[in-house]
Amino acid sequence: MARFLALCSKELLLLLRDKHGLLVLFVVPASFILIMSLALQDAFNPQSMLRIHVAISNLDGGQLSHTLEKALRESPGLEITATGDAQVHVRILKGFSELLATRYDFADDYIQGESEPTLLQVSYSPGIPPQLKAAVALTLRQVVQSVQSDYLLETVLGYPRDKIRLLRYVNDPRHLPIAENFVAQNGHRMQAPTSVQQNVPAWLIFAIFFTVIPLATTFVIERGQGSLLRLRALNVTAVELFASKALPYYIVNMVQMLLMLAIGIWLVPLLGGDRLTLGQSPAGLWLIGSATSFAAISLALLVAVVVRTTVQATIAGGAISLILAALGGIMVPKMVMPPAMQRLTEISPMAWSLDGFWAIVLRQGGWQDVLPQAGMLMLFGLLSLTFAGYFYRHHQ
Amino acid sequence: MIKIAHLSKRYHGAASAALDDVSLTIDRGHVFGLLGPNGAGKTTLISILTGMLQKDVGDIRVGDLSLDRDLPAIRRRIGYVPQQLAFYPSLTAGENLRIFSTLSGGSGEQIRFSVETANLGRHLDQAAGTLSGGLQRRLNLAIGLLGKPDFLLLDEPTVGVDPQSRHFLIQTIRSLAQQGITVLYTTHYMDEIERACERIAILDHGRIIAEGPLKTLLAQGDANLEALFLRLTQHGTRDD
Repeated sequence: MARFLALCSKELLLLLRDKHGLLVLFVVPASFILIMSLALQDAFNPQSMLRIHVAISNLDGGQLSHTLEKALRESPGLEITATGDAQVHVRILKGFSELLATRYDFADDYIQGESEPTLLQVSYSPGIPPQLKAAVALTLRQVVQSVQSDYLLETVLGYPRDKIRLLRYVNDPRHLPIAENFVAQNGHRMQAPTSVQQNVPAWLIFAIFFTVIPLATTFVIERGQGSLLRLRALNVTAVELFASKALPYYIVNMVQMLLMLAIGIWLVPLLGGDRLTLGQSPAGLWLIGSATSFAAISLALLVAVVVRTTVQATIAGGAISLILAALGGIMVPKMVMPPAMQRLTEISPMAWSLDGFWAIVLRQGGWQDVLPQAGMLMLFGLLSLTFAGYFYRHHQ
Repeated sequence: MIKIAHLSKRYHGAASAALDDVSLTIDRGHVFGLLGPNGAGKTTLISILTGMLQKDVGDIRVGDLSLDRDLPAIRRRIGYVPQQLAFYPSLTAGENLRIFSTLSGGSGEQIRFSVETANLGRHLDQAAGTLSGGLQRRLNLAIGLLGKPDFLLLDEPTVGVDPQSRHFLIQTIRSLAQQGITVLYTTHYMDEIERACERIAILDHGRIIAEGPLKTLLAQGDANLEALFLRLTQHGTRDD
């Protein structure tokens, strides 16, 4: 036992004196959590998603164009702004009011194939996402239709104003009596997922897998400078060696987990982001965190015994972590990927881990709900460890 | 005593044997010099003695223990000082000694013995990587002494150190032998062998081409050990 503790303390001391390793394991993921949670805050908020910056140029000046301009200003999805800041530029063309007021007169001509004159000219900035573009188009059509139908009902058909107000109310999709909510795994109602609940588990998993770099680098250095040879001459077995590396890095991974969760709970809200909610199962969090740690450490040991130089260890460790992260929905949330890519995420252990964390923090599940993901991660870890053991014996 | 009999080893796919029917006897309390050009088989021999490498055939006895049966026990009685500086540069000299001492099953007393023998007392709190070349070699030796071994295997222990540190290391090794430790010493420095060893063997192409008391070998007419070595192993370089 004293031998094992000596090996573990050696590993911890090496890590504590490795500034680059600590930077990679703690500072980089913490920064990612802060940056990505705040940057993607609006992407997870359905209200803010529709706040599209629109500039209006009224080239008509007639009564109906002013009514339209007012209706656009009051539209909840649009933020009226100066031309320079706009994602969408709406030009109300000259003759708009007259055309809208008399459009019904020419309805037969239009039905028979005459082309209608343009009422509005809408220009989109090239960077606008297609979903937002579609939302703007829909909003504009709804507002124009509303202005036109109000005019027809009041002026042409002589409806009283209070009736028109009632019609407008019942036709407004926002006033439809539909209740929407998120339901957790256990059937309980839960809060809407936020950017911090996507990003904290995601970058925590990334941080845990970044263990590959310091662990593999340390191993290569030990082998290169002969310390490993000396350890073997002192009867240190492969099992002792691997276990003495795994335990300190497991402790480090647990510290990473506590730190990243604390950042999500306390620091992100201080900076204006949402607060991370942890769910109701600390045991589930520990289980999925431990399984993730085991998978990452086993992968790190495999990389460590296969590569020959520290440069290879850094490149291989970094590349593997980045590819698994990109595939696993860490960098880009799985929900925004096309269906084929969403299926592809299932090959990445980081995706299994993320799904496990979400089972707890998003779906409010218990430790039983992460057993499938934890099992997959443990299996991945055991396979990696088996190959690591084989290559270690083979290379020595 | 270390007794090696008819030891052979051929690496997988190699055209010739790394060790070919090598037999040696190293008496207790003696410093035995093992000489040979690059690739002669010296490191292979030491790797087999420490159990790092499997032999093909042959018998090795270390004291009353057999390598085939008692490897863990042999490793506990052997102090190994590899050619590389086999310690952790970011840890202090003291931390390195404590960790390797625990792994050797050693005690505080043995750390004190190692520190005193290698004269490292004033440098224990210094990061090992920041020690001078000579001090790093002394730390390397001190770690090898931690289990208070009966047998010491030194693989080129003075590479890259100044004459003062070399002198210190050779004196230390002689002193250890006088305390009863059996030393197998490999080096390329002929003067070190002349100063430290009573018996030597010259290994070339995996075979022992000369073996015996240094004085006896030098009595064959060569001006010095280097002349004897070059006469037996030829002048051509081995790395080309």
